[in-house]
Amino acid sequence: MAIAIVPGSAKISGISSAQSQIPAMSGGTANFSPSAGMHADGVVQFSGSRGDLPAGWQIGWIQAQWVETNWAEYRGQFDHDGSIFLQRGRPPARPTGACRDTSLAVGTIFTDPSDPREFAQLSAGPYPVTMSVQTNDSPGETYNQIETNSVTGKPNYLHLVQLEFHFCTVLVVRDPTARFLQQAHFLWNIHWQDRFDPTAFPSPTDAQWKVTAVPGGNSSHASAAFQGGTTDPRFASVLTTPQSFSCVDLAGASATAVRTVGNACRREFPRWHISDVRK
Amino acid sequence: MKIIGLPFVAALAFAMAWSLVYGQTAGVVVRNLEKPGAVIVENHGPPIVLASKVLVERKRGAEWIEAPVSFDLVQSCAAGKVPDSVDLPSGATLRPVPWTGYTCSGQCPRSCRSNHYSGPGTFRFVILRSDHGERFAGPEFALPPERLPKDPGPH
Repeated sequence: MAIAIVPGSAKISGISSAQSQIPAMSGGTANFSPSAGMHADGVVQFSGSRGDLPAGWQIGWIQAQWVETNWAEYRGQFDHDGSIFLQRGRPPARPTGACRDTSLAVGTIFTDPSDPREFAQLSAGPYPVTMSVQTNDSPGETYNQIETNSVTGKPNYLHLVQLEFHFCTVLVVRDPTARFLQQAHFLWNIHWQDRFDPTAFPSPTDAQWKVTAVPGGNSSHASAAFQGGTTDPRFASVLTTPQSFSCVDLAGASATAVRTVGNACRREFPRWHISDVRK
Repeated sequence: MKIIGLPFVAALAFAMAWSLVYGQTAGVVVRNLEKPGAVIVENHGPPIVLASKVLVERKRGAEWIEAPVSFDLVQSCAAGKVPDSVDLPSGATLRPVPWTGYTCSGQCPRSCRSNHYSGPGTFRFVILRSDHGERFAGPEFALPPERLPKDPGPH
């Protein structure tokens, strides 16, 4: 008998989403990081016979991010100091569509094959062998507290930020022929929406900011586990196909892009301006 | 005949002696500090240019594998792009912002999606010359399991 996955043995349990918290003002930046990261445990059982070689069987996680809302609005102290809108979630700063979320290069497919908690090689029998892995993720974002408005030449202060990151995390077995066999999956997300008001001008210290959560804008959710793989067309195509950039790559590139005056996702105005955050 | 300056000769002799003792052509030494993830980089040899990007390696069995950790030779978390290289003059010491154990935001706040704590495990820092022609591996250290922060309460 060759090594095989015991039908129905794959399970995801202990799912908890990352938890949003009030961003920290530190070192001139507003830092959004979860108070606790996403976590889940996965198990898969393998059958086989004495002498079967486990080489090539791997267990881990593949994650896709399929929603990215990511914008910030800055305002000068006075209306005539202008305003800035930074759009990190839309083209050209960030391409539309889902991405694969890996810690190593995107071509590694699994979330982190270097971490023995997240990824395992099938161990030798006696069979049946139950393999356990866990997944953890603490997505975060950062914005400068102050940006200079090139139209007015005045400092503009962070005023509003909205972040929404939605993910699908899949428990996966890769067999010795390099096929990815999806076993189970779950969905999770984390949202931040906060307002920032400096309490001193023109150079507030980290402590001289009032940060207020926008009602209803801060939340996190996780689904139950679903048996089997996902065929959701919003992100299924990025799970194992060749990709040029990971979600971390895209997020970093987007943050860099909006630093450049003239980038279409950095919109500067001579007055306070309310932008359409969908664009 | 041109006379070579005494300081140059002394520095050359020191570098040669260092090379004999430590087996490295340059005198870059990576030392762990008490807190896991905190490190200093000392240059006991001639001036050198180091790559800002540092490799963080995890011990797996008897081998060292690259961990997906963003760690740079930066001494503060300033906004903006990290330069590709850092000059380390002779006798200088560099104290980078310590690593907290997170893969993406483990040193400075960054735009992160995949970002998880790497411990528990055994790790080491590997500093590279800017042209990647030489590696300076630090001693191993044990990164403990994650200590979760206290719940700050409802948002």
